[in-house]
Amino acid sequence: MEGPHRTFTTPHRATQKHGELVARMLFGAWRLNPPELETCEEEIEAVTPQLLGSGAGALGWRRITSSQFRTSPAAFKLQQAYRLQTLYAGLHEVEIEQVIKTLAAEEIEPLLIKGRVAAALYPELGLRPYGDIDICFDSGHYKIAASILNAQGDKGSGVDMHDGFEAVYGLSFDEVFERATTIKVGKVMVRVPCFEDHLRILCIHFLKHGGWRPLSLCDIAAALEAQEDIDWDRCLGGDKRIINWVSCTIGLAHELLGARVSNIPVLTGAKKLPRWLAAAVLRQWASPYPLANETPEFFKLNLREPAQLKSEIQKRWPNPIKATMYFVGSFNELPRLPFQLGNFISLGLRALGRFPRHW
Amino acid sequence: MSVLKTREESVPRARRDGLLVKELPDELLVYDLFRQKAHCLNRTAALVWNQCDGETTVEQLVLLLGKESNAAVDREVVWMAFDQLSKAHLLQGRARTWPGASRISRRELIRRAGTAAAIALPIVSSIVVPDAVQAATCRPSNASCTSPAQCCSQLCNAGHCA
Repeated sequence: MEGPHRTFTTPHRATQKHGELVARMLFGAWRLNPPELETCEEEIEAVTPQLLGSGAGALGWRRITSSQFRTSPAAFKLQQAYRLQTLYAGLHEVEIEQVIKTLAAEEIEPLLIKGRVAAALYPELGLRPYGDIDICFDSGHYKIAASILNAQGDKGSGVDMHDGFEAVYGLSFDEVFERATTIKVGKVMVRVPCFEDHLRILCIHFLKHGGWRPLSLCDIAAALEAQEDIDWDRCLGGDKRIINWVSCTIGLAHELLGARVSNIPVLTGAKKLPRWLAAAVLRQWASPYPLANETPEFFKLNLREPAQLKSEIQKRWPNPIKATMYFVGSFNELPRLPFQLGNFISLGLRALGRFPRHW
Repeated sequence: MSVLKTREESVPRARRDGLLVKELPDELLVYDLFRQKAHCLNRTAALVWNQCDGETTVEQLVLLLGKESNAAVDREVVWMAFDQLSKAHLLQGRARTWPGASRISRRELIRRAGTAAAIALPIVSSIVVPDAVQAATCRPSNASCTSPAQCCSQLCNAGHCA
């Protein structure tokens, strides 16, 4: 029997295929009028767990909402995700509002980043899911804010606090704050990084998590198409490594999701990706969750069964993107083995409590 | 008798407190903040719910529905909507069964008025959680939560993830 589902028979091919299918389903999904999707019901069925699990269910629904597949059982699940996210977007707004008001009462003004800020560039807020509220503070306010939010009990528990931007994103909080703009969330105006700073944050965040989440690349694609005149000097800064990271992520958004990058001539790296990079991302996308190469799962290895050891190590072998970011490396054609080996050893030592956590 | 008749003929009052409502082009989404349940109302159910002010008569509502769906609408359609809205706790007062709703089946209603009537039939469905987590940093069972979106299970009961 010939059919699309026949391509998912071997595990390795299934990995490759599922990742590619996720990319195809999300191609242009953030646009007001997404492009027509050429697919079949079996493919939608096959890719639905990946879309739902990674938070891209609503975007998947958007791709098929005008197609003949809109009434299929898989489409129904995607539609349910869209409906729930639409409602949760409203709840999330209320939560953000409460947190911002609480902090404002103590004269603390943080910067809101990621989730809700990224969602503002989509045609609808319900197209992406929301988890924690990511807010960033300068070091002077970080501890005070933590104690205020901790005193709120459950109300403050949904906040993911960040102490500045320097360590991860190579940005000074004061500079980002100075360039910041505001968006309206519910009834309050919330300070957010300017477009360029936030694009940089999104790109580095995507790589830092090993590129596992297609939704994060959709955020970047939506941002790239939302603004015509991007100040690339501001976005990239002067650090060669940051330029490499951001341009590679933009290149991925273009290559895998069809983000329009014709207006960014300065980013040569975006058009010349390392050959291994896109394949590594697609392997991640084949799984609805990040692959289990992190502690505490990391060292649940059964050392008494050498026969299983090889496959267990294979399962835990570090993601090349994450390993590169772990050692603050560049994305180029050089082999990733040294990064992965180093990452594997450090994760092992960290699991034993003998190695500091980088991020 | 006239008082009783008036009560019977008036539509019930819709519940408005503790609900988050989002309007989409073809449906209305309602999130019950007290019960932490999400509902989806099709256009007919939404229309009925929006008219549930305790004053409009059932007859007026029947006419309105007929105009909207461009088809003859039975009173039972309205009873059916009340029944479903009540079961979803979207009407004021305790959930109850509406006498008219049980008199006739959905199939019978469709048969009686042809396929055009199917458009007018009210549907209040629960939005169930898709079988996978949504959030990147979702919380496990028993972790504290303030909204369902924070939990891997997408269910936040009494401040803790199910």
